[in-house]
Amino acid sequence: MTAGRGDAFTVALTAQLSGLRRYATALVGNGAAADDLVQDCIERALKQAAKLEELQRIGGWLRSILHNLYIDDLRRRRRQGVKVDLADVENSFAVVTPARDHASVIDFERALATLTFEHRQILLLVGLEGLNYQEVAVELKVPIGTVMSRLARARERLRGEMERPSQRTLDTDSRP
Amino acid sequence: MSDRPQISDEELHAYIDGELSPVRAADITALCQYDRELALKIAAFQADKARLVELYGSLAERPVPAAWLHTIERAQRRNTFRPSRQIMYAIAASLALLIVGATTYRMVKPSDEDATVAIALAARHDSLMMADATGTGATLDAATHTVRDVLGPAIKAPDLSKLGYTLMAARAVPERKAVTIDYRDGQNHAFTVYLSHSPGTERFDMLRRGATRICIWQDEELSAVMVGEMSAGEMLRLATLAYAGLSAG
Repeated sequence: MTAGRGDAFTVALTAQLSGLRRYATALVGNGAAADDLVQDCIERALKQAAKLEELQRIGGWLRSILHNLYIDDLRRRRRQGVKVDLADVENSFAVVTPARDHASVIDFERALATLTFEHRQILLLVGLEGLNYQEVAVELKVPIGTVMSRLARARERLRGEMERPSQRTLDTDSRP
Repeated sequence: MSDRPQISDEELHAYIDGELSPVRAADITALCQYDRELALKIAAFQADKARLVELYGSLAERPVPAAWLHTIERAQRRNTFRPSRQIMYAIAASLALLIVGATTYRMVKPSDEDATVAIALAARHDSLMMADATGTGATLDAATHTVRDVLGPAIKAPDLSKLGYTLMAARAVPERKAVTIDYRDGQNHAFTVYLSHSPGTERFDMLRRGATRICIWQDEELSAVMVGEMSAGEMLRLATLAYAGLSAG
């Protein structure tokens, strides 16, 4: 059996990878970019393993590293004037989504992509990762009231974007 | 002017997420019976939330890139203060992850090799029945004693109190040379760890049977089948704490 904390860390890290990859893909909206992000996250986590105080919090700890890396990447790309091509997003999800539902998937993903990072983050933590409000508050280091208000705003905005006619729909409608 | 009771946006979403007090949640449920606008609004938000899981949930079932495993293995090899054990666990971790991809696809397709799971579920059922009958609690020392009697001195009963789970009982299953350890949280949700000698192969699987999650975490010496009605995330947190806490070293 596992005798030391270092061993347990590696096993726990390995066990988290599938879920972390899913979270990154949903957050970033592009499979290849998400995989790069997770690879960077693994390398940073291995270097900073000693900073993890409680092994059972490794999921949140890894997501924190991932968030920081993602924000750094966004800032760097903004400085470089790089724009994200939504076609990349469409291509990434075409692989995993049934064809009949493809258009609505793109609309949902497009709506999600219009949200701020903080709003996407909290939607995914609660809606995808299944964290309760207290767990989210601990992970994001904010009061639980902030979690509630941020989540409410995020969902309102997502709904608003979903109810707005999409460019895809307008394009389709305007075709002869 | 509406005389509808005021429901804040925060309350509405807390209701959707099951975070509202039972009394207030019942108020909103009752209100939805005659407030169609409110009911539709809640349904739309619930649909959006469900869509996230529908779209992204299955992404966790993809096999993990081998490059990530190599990164972890390389890091393990650099830590040479205990090389044999380090490498052994790196290999175990790699094998475990490779298995994750393959086995999660068969979540709803039980096979012969899931005999361990079937035995663990049966043992859990018996154990929970006994616990309901006796309502026992146990100390970690007593549970560890039971575990060591069956599985040897290198294993101890894990302490899951950090995640809110209290040890209830540890029971030997002599005919299987196994032990079940039962835990309960504050809401009386059960989490069971079924321990037995490993057949000698590494394995890590997360299975789902209805509302029940099953995590099989096995190395060359010990097999741990962990069972509970919970989310995948909660199971992973509990399983990680339990697995790390099994070592007596």
